[in-house]
Amino acid sequence: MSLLKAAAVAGMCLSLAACATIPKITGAYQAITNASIPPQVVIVAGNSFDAVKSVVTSYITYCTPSPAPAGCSDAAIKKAIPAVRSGTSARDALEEFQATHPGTLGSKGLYDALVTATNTLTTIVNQYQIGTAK
Amino acid sequence: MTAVIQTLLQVIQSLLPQIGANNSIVNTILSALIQLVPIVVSEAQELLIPVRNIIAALQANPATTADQQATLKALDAQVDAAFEGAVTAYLANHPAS
Repeated sequence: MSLLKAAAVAGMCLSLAACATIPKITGAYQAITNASIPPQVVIVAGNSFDAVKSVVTSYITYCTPSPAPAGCSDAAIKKAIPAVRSGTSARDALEEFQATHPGTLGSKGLYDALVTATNTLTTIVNQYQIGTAK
Repeated sequence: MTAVIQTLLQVIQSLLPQIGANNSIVNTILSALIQLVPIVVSEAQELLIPVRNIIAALQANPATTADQQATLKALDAQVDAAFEGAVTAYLANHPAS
């Protein structure tokens, strides 16, 4: 450990109160990252993902003829495919959990994966104006 | 075509509140969905969401039997497979991309 790092740790723990705070912060972080998601929130997230997935599916179908019609971007499709697949996996896992554990809280990790996929796809849809290509 | 399917889906959605314990309405809706889903998947992907919502509403209904639940699950999978079908067709037409 470098002298600077040692000094920083020592500085943080100069008082007993400061040292006691670190586990609390760690605990709060773990509580947030391990938190569970209510079923209603999962349904909303699933619907949002399905909506953007539907837009991307329509776009890919529209762009399938070769040569591709105007407004098609191969780069957009190549970016969207893995995002749709990861989002679908997360959504399926969340829905499966809800089916087998009705009324209980779902995994935040899966929920985050679903939201990330939805956000990624929304960014792609906006960046490449996918919704307007028809 | 899309407008016709959309109208049919609206009719089905209007039937949903009337299901209650009447299981025969579920059968009627299922028969219609079995006909409609392949058309929606291939020609009207913008209607995938309403179809999936109808499936979810039926799945959540206590009047739906186990057999009907199995049919709904298969229909849901068919709807969800529309994306992979579109990707396969796209990659076949754009092999170098």
